[in-house]
Amino acid sequence: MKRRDFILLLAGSVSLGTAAAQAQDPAPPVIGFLGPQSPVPGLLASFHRGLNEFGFFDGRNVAIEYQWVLSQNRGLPDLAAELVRHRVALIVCTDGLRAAKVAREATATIPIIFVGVGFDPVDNGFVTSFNRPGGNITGLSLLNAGLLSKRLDLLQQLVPRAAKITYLMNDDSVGLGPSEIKQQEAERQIAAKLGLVIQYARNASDIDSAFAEMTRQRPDALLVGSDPVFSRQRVQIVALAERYKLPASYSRREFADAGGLMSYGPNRSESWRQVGRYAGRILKGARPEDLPVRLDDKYELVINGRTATALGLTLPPLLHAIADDMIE
Amino acid sequence: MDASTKREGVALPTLRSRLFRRYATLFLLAVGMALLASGLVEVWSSYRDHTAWLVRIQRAQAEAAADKIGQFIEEIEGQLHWTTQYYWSEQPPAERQADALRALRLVPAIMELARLDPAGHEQLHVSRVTATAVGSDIDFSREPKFVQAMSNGVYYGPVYFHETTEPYMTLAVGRRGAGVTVAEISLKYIWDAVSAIKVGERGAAFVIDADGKLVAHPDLSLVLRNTDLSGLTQVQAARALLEDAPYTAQDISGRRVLTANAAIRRLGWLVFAELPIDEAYAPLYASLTTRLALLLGGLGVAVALSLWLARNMVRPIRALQAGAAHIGAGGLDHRIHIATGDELEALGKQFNSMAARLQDYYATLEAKVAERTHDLELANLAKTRFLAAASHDLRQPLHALGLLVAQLDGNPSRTERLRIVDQVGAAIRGMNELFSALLDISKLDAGAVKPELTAFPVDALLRKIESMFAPVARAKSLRLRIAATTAWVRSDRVLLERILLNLVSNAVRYTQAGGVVVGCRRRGNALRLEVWDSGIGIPDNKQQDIFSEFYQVTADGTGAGAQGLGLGLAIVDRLCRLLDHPLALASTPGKGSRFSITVPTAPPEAEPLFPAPHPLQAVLQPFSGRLIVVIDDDPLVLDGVGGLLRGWGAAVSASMSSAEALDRLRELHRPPDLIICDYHLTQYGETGTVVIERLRKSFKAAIPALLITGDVSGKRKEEAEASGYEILQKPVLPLTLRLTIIERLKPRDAPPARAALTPWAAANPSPAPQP
Repeated sequence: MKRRDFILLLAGSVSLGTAAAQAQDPAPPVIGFLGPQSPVPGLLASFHRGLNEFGFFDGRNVAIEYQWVLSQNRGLPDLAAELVRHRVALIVCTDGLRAAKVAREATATIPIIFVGVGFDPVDNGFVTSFNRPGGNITGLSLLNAGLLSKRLDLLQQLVPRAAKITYLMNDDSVGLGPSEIKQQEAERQIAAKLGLVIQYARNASDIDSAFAEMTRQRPDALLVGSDPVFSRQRVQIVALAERYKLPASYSRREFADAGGLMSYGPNRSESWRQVGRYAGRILKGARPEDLPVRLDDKYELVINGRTATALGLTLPPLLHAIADDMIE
Repeated sequence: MDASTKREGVALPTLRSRLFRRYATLFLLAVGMALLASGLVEVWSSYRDHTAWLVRIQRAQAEAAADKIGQFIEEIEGQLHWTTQYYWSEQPPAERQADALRALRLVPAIMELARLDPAGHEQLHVSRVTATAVGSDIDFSREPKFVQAMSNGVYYGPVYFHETTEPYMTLAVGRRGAGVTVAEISLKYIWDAVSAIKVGERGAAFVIDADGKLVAHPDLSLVLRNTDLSGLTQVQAARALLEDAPYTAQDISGRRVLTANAAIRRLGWLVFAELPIDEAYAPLYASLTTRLALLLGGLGVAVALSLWLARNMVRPIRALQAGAAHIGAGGLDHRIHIATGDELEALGKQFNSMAARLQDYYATLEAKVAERTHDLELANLAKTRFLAAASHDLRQPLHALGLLVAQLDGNPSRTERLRIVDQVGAAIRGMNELFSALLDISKLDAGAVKPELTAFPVDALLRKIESMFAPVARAKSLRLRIAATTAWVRSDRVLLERILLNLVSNAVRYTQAGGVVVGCRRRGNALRLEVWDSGIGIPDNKQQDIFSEFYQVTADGTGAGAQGLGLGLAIVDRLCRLLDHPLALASTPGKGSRFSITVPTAPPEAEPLFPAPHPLQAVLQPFSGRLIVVIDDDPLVLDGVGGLLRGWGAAVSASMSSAEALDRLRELHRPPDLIICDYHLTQYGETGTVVIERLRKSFKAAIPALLITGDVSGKRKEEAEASGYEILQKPVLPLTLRLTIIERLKPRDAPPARAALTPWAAANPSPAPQP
């Protein structure tokens, strides 16, 4: 009698187990991307590389939903709300403070990874500290005000005779937190200390007028700030620089790729790979509050040889040697 | 199937059987302990082995990690060395700058690089985030990075955190004359290497610096939190360079782990590889469970086996026990069946054969008892017959006596009286003879006669017999010749005499004409004594019968008109058997007979002469020289008894009271040999016992005494009997009186008591008829 009952129990539990296992075959997790614009494709690839390291492959066991504000018809909040409605497992905010802010308002439970340039996550209240973010937000950050001197240094190596150099920056403080404003101010001060002439531009038309102003002032070279607006308008800026035969140094390699003379800034590809890894870890069950905020510390120097030649510049061998990438 | 196996408890020993319990327990203990011991030893040794193996693996992993990290640092060092290749003074600054920038380019881990001149002043600073600074001339000459780099060639700075999240360390290399190159190394790369180390499923490797602070850990947040692990025991042990460091400890989160470490020598860092113990021992626990199950299974089998073995051992033993009990209770036909083929079976067979033997013994015993009983019955019958014959023979003289006494009544004449007295005497003698012979036969049959074998010259016996029978033979006009011999024989003197006496007596009696010859013939170491007669002879068919009691042969073949009693030969037969002297008979009816007995000879010895005459004298004339005191208050009795005694030859002192007796005896100046006293002396108020005592006390001797009482029954008879003296009841027959007196009058120095033939019989063989 007891033996029979035991066998029945065993059979029952086995069948239950398989049923449960079947029931647990869920839909793959969804990662939602939120940002003012789509990032450069190369960067997405890096993101996927990072994701792959943790065994997640797009289309196989993970799905990505992209919500870019392509035409600015719909606001970020709407897009964010939609992501939340879709119950995504993770939200990745690209490019800047605003997307992160919107995402933070949209949800306090879904993990958020921000990829931010130029804002202090602690000051903005996203995290309690770099080491232990607390909450559901973590990500990558870069305080790169200090890069300015380095970029100037490099530019001067390429254009040794440049005496008067203009610094193009975005002084738009809408939606900026106090630390961002502080940073902006610091940026301005460093630029002034370095002896740069500052030009402000907030949008495309401002860029046009800034360049028009610059023709009057006739600088020897141009340093472009790393504002995302500028990144969006890179083609315009590069074309203008080329028109006015102005050697320009940028902060992102997409400028160099687009034809800009040189760029020195964080190796975004590497950063996006790190973001992909973080995404993988979170999907595997890590909690955002345990993942510290990373600082980008890989920098790359990209030089566009063609543009240099077009500008009649000769590359010093040293620069040649230390350049991470040369575009011909 | 015999009864034993049907008994409860023999076929299936139950748990109540102590032996079964004991055996079962012993077997179980033996097997169980063996199983348990081996199991425990196995478990313990496999635990140890497993642990050692795991620790080895982990140590290998830690060492691999240590190697990797060491290499990483070494490579950076190598790159930095390139920058200090040239003497400071020899190298143009531009080149120096180019070297520095190149180093930055080649080693992604270097964040910034500074060049200090041989005096310790910074002259160049390149960075990834700041502009190159040249000739700042900041004085670092007292900094350890400069000092140590110059003295040791290399300096490893402590781990610090840049912007509080990035672990960095300072690495400086220096060369005399070339200055020092100081590099800030980002340790995120080490973190990558350490994270890639797989230690089991949930194990991890981590790196701590010389102060015990976490440098690299898969969980970077722990590193960024500046965790101090110097409190962990394994860290302490490793830093103390303990040889026998324990390999189990608790990790950061408090889990128990198996830990191994390796050192990165150049940096003074330690790499730990740790595996949670539950994961480490999971396979061991699994196998332990299996082993436990096996052990339990084995124990179960052991239990079953031990029960079975014990049962098989105990069953034959119990069969033995039950069988023995059965046999012991009397069931001798019970047989134990054990077929184990060993000593127990042999034992069972022994029991069986023992029971069989017991059975036989009982059967034999019963048969013997039956036989004995039968024999006894036969003997009883013989006795009855004997008594019947004896009483028959006794009636004759009694009858005669009656008749003779009746004749006296008629006041016969003197001549008549004399004849009657003679005949009375003859009758009495005959009865006496019979009684003595009967007594002798009784004694012989009862085995109360013990022969005393001595060596003696047989001639003396022969002479005696010759003298005894010479007159009788002469009276019958028979020739009597007894041979002379110098031979000595070993036999009983008295008994042999009796044999010869009876034989010769018979021969004389049954021979009417001719003679009797007694001869001796030597036969080897024996002497054959032969008694020839020319008498009526004994037919062959009667030769056995004549030795029977009361058998007498006459000329006409019947017993009519025989003389004597017919016991003589019966006595001879018994005596010969007792002495083991073969008795033979040859006879021809009408011609004669020859009786012979064979007696062993003995070497002649110095004569212990024929025993002193006293006993003979005593035997032949028991009364002569004896003084008998008779005390009775009846003068008639006194007179009668006294006269009788005097007639027999004794001196008599008759008195009516003890006082008188004492007076008389004092006059005689000698103690009496016998006291005969009436029990009831009414006239003087004494009892016989008292009198005897007085007399005995007076003479201070235990004088033999006799009491005569007239009381037939009642209290006085009992009293008399209780006195302890011999009692005769009135009327006392003279014969009885005589016999009793002779009995009492033992010869003064006679040999110790011996159940001899009655002296009367020995002294008075059946006489020949009086002429």
